[in-house]
Amino acid sequence: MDSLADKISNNLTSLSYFIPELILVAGLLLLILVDLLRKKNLLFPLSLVILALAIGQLLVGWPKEAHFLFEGFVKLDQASAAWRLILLLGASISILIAARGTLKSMGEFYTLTFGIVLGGHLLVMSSHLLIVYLGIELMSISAYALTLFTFEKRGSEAAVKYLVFGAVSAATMLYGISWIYTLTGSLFFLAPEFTDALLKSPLVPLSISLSLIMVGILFKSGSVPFHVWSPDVYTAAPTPTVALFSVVPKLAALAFLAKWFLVIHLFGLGSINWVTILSILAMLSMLFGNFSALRQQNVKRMMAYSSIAHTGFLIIPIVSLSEQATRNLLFYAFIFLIMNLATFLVINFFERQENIRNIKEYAGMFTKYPLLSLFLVVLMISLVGLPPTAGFTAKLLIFTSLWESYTMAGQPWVLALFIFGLLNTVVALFFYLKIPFYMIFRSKESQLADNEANKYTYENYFTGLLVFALLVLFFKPDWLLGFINKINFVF
Amino acid sequence: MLQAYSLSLLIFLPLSAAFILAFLPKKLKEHFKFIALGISLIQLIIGVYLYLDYQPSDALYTIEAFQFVERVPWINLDLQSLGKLSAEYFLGVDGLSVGLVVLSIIILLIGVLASWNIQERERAYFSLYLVLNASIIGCFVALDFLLFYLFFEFMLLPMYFLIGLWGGPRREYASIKFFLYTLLGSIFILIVMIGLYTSVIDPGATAIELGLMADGQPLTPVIIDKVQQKLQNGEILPEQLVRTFNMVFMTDSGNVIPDSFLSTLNPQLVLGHSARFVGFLLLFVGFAIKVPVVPFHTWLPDAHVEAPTPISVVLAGILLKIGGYGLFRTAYLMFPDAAVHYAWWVGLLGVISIIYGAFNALASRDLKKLIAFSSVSHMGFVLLGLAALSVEGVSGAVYQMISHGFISAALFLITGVIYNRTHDRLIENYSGLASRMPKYTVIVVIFFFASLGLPGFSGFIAEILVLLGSFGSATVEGINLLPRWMAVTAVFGLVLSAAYYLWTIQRMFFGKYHVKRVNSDRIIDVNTREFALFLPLIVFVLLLGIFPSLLLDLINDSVVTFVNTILKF
Repeated sequence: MDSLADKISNNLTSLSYFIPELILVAGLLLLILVDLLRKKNLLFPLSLVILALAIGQLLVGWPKEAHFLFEGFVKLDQASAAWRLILLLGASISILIAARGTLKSMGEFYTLTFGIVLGGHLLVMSSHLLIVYLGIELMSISAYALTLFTFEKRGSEAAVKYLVFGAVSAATMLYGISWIYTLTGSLFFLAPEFTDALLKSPLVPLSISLSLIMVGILFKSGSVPFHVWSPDVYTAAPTPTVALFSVVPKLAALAFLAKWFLVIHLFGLGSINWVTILSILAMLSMLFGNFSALRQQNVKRMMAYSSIAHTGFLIIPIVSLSEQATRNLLFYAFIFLIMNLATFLVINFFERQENIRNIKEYAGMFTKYPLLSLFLVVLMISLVGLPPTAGFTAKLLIFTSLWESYTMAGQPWVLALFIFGLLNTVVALFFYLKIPFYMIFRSKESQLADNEANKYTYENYFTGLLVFALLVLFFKPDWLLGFINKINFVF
Repeated sequence: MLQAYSLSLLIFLPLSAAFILAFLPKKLKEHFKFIALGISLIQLIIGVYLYLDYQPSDALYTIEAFQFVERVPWINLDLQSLGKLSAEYFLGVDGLSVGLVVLSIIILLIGVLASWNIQERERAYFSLYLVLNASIIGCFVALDFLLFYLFFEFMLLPMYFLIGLWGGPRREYASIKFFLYTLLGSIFILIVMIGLYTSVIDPGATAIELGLMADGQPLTPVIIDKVQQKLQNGEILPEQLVRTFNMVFMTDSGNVIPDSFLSTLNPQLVLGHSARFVGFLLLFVGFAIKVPVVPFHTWLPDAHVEAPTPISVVLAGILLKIGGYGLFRTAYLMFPDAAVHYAWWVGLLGVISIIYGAFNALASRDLKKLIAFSSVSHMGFVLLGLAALSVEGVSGAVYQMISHGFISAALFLITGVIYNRTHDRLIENYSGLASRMPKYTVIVVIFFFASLGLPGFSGFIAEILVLLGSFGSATVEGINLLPRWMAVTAVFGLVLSAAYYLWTIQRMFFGKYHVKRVNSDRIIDVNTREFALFLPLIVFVLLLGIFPSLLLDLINDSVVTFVNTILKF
């Protein structure tokens, strides 16, 4: 394997497994070209076609077994394929949200979105810490620029804030990676030698280096205590972009965390109890997210805190540490994707149509847009996690795996997380219900119904479809979980 | 046909009607109430059929003990290392629930009639009402915990909107308070539900996994025994265990996985208590919020005072009973050891509710608040009877739920009558109404007397049974579960209720006619429609008071089984 020819041939064979990503790269370049040629109308359909191609190629080339690609830098397995599917779906729906509005004719929006997806793909497939860093940076740099696109003062302020925080956390992570390298002599974190070296490492440098790396992951996933950027960014960035941010980078980071967590957990033999640490962080995320959301006036800011709280919920299956929990994480991620994106779709609609930004301005919208308001009620119920929506099923599944993990290992903090997480639902109900409350309870006399015109909008159909999916997946979770169950998690 | 699907019909009729209502053109809005009424009448026919066709049976807690059973697989998840997970669409009634189903149907029908004058947003109102209808019935007939939980939660949203949109001046506060309280309770229930379904197996499906029987073969006690023995000996691989939400299987302690969290053998302590005791307490609090038991009752006066009359009727008449029924079906039957252990405390909370509710009623200036607190007081008897765990006590508790369903519905209708006319419910603003509203006065006197437990009315039978039951409460290891003073104190609660009812009658209806801050022209007697609402309630209250066997025959066998199941543990 040492000769140059071998290396090249290895990389070339690897490329054949890498087609969805190659499609994304080619598409990204193509979109820049189309934008330069001033064919603005082509951008939207073209980007969807590219994403559809990538999804199709991903499904066609669904991996039967795990491969290490590019000399072991990237690992292709079914779990990462499932995550890539989720990321591609997230990006597609975000672009569909942008179908109406100013972003639609903006080439940069599409290219940067593709950049984020590509970064996410690298992150979920990585098996080398430099690829992790590369993925995170690719996502971050695209995200900084995307934040700017309202071209308002607030937007630039948020982008700078995001940039500063992001750069610091990325540098911290890189610093941690360099510490790890001195400890283990390798950055191939899925290799058994890496684990052995970690086991032999002295406690203090090991905990410092792992904590430094954790900073970068937590920053990207928007978890406490590295969440402070997200409310500002969510408020200032254009809504379709926020929709994208709330799903793709977050889920990519959490997918990586799920993988990384198994490495640093060291089969429970390590001297640092990461289960406790992450349990506490998850609880703090829920606490800060939910309680800060209570006081928000701005819808998108409220959704930012809601998504911080959801990060806490997404960490639950990660600390549960079982194969089933990882499947439940995928299930939760998929449901979270649908409900969050559908919510942003509705928010985007009201923002564009009625210039609504604050919760109070939703007053009386029920009479004007009854169907969309009804959908929003279902979405909020799903975000709280009440039946009959898939949000409930997802929560039931993750709490089940957490419960199993508690009964196996009996760690007190896990029990605390279990109870605390469930009780948080009550707090969450309070603020999620605020929007339907204003929509339905506070009517404005001037809002006369011109129902007919509002019945057949694009948003009505699209949200209806997503809401329908949420309801169906409550009554028949077997359909999605059956698919997820077929995924082979070989670590 | 009707035999096989009657319970599903009860649930899906209102649900589909709600769906149809949502798409009817607005110009038909005068007819929306007729749709709701029609559905309720069909339900009434099915209810009568249920009542007549139900055969009292004292079978033990197996699926055969239930009637009108419908069982269809719903969710089947393969959790691999955790085994399989199954939830079913599983409906059925036994003596504990059949009476409550019939009660719900009648009260919901009366609720529709009481909503006849709703003038704004009829479509939304009746759609929500029908959804509420479906989820209430669903709660009483569901025998799968997940299904039960679905209906239990599904009730909150229509209720929230019904109070919040058509309620009184402080409706927004009241509706969110109601929602948050109940949701908090249902989170406790959810915690235990997760614990239970990870601990309990479905012997039938596990037998199929083990190859002990073929798919589709009927489940015999022999096979159940075999599976349970294998389970208790730890001979079943984790992958072969089929975990279930089935409430009937959860009742049988033989189905609990020996090393699971909620097994009796689990030595692990949670906050210093055995896991099963904590499970019982969580379920108890979850349902006690709904009942409501003092000190979890504070949402109730607000919700009642602000809710529109028909919703108050449904809330007091049925929704509170779901709390009581939940205690029977889940907390007591699934954790009998804890039920015996905590009997004294449950009884104490019952007595506190009786006395505290009565004193609050005595101090209330608002007629509706008075009746809301009297509800708290009378629901305390349900708890006391249940805690006694004697056949009389538990029968009395069930009887009280149904009797109080009728009486409290009537009492809230009574406040509705006066509120509709004057928009004022302060007792001190009225005096001598008897001279202007003679028919109304008669109705009020009848129901006040029924509620304070006058012989001849249903409340008397229920309360006498509860008191007898708690005097002679079940003995465990030679010690009575409830001390005598609890029953004595509960009697004092009856005296108090006589006091606040009689005092109210004296203040509002007797003496010289005189009203304050109210337009005197509006004080007119009940009309025919209103009278028609009270008439069936008077009939039921009297029937149940004079012929208790009408109901006792229905519930008795199930109560005996219930008590035996818990005490044999």
